[in-house]
Amino acid sequence: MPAAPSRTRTLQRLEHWFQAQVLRPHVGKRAARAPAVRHLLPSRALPAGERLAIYQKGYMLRLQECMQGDFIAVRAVAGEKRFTELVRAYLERHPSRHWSLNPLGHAFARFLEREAQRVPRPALLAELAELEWAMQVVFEAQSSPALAPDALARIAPADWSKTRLAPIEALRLLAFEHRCNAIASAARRKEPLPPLGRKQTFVVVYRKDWTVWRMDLDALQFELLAALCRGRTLAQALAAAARKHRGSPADLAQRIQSACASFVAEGLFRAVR
Amino acid sequence: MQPKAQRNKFGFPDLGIGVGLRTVHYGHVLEEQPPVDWFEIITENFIGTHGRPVWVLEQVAERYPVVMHGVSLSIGSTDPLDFEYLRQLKELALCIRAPWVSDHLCWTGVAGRNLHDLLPVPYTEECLRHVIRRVKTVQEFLERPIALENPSSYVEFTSSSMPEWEFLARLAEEADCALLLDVNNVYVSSFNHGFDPFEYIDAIPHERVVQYHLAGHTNHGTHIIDSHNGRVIDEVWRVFERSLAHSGGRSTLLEWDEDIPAFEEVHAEALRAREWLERARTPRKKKVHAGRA
Repeated sequence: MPAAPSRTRTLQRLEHWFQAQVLRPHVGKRAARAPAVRHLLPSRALPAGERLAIYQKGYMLRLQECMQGDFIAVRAVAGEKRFTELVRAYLERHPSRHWSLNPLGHAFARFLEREAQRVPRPALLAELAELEWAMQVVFEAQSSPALAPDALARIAPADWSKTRLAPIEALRLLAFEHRCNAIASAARRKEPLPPLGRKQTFVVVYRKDWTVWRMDLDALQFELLAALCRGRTLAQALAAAARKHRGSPADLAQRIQSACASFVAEGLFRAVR
Repeated sequence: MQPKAQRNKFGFPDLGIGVGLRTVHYGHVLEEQPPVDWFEIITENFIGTHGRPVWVLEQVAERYPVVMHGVSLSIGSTDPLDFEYLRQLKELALCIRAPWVSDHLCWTGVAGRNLHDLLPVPYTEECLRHVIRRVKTVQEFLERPIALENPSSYVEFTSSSMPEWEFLARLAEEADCALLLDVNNVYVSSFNHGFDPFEYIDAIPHERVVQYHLAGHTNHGTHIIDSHNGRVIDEVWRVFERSLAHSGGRSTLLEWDEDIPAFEEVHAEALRAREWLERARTPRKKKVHAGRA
C-alpha cells in the first residue's frame, strides 16, 4: 500500500481492507463474520459477514458473466464448471485494472496457453480464446472506409511490383491447428460441436457494416492476405500465394483473382499505396 | 406541501421522461425513432471504443438529448483520479452535447484495481473532505458541474458518523455539485439499513437535484438488491412523490438492465412517472379557513 496523505489514511486503510475482503474467494459464513464485525454493522436481518458476502458474490458473478459473454466457445468446450474455475484463476492472475470491462479478457488466451496445462485440450482452448478475443478487438477497432469494389481493377499490372494494399484496422488474420471457426459458430448457435481434434485452419475476422464477421480461408488465401497485411507489394503477395498452389497456372490465376475480389468485396482494405 | 425548489440551481433543463439506451434496443431506436424525451447512456460503453455503439450513439444524439451516466469515476477512492478517463469523458460529452454528466457517490477499487462495482464509502468527516476535494478537481477539469447519484448499499460502516443524506447534502453544498436522486436507491438502502426513506428525501437539498432515477429491484427478504429489473413498486413511487413535493419535478429516467423487455414496455413503465409529475406541477388550492365576517 503506498503511503497515503495523513488526511485520508484511515479511509485508505478501510478501502484496502474492504477490497481485500471482496476479492477473497467466498468463504463460509463463520469465517467471514470474524473480521467484518470490526468495520461493518449488522442489519436487522443479516450479520455483518453476510452483508459483506453480497459484494463478494456480486464481484465474481459480474466478471464471470462478462467472460462468459466474450468466450462462448471456450466455455462450450471447457464445460461450465471448468470454465468457471479457469476464469476464477485468470482473474486472480489478471485482475481488472481498467475502467471498462471491455479489456477484461485481453490475456485469457495467453493464460490458457501458459498456465492451464492441467485442463483437457489446453491448446484448443487457447486458440478459441484467441479467436474470440480477436472478435472483441475487431468490434472495438477504429473505423476506416473500405476501398471501392473496382479499386484493384484500376491498378495496372505494370504497377503491381510497387503497389501495396493497406488493411482496415478492424481486421485480424489467424492460423489455427483446430477447427476454431466452426467450433465458435456451433457454440454460438448452441449446436453440437464439430470434431475437436487437430486440423489446420485459417480465418480472417473483420468488421463490415458495424458487424463482426469471420471468413474461413484456405492456405493460398491466407498466404496472400497475410503478405498484404504485412505490407508486401501485390507482386510479392502473389508470389507468396503461388508457393502454396499445387495446381495449374491457369487455376492459380483464377483462385488469386477470386480471392482478391472477395477480399475487396468484404471491405478488407482501406487504401492503395 | 408546495414545491420549494421549482428550478435546479444549475439551470439544467427539464428534459422530461427518458429511458436508458441499451444494446438490445439499438435497432428499434434507430428504425422507429420512438417519441422518447431523452436518453441516458452508460458512459463507459461509449469511450475507448470505435465500434457499433459509437455509431449508434452519434445517430441517437442527433435526434434526442443524451445524458452521460458513468460508473467508473470512483470519486470515493483513495487512488488518484484517472485523468485519461476524464479526458475521454470530456471529449464525448462535448461531442454529443450532453446536457450534464453524472456518476455515483462510491468507489470502484484501490491499488489500481477495478472491481466494477459501486462500493460504499464510510460517512465520515475524513471521507467527506476527501470526496469534496475530488469533486472540485473533477468539475474543474471537465469545466462543468457533475451530478452525483446516491448509491444503493448493502453494508454500513461502524466508522460512519453521519447518515447518508447528511453526507450527500454537505457534499453537494461544499463541492457545489449537482445531485442525481435515485429514489429506488433511497428505498433499497432504507430497507437494507432500516432508515426512513422520507426522512432521507426531506433532508436533500432539492435545488441541487437535476435528475431522478427510477428502477425495479429484487427483494430477497433479508435484503434488497438494486438489480434494475422489473417494474417500479408502489413504495418507490411514493418516495418519488415525496421528492416531487419538494422539487416540483425534474428530468426523470427509468433504468431497466436485467431481463430487459421490448422497448415499448420499458418506455411505458417510464411514462408512469408522468402522472406523479403532473400532480406535483398542478398548483393546489389554498385551504380557505372559515372565518367570521
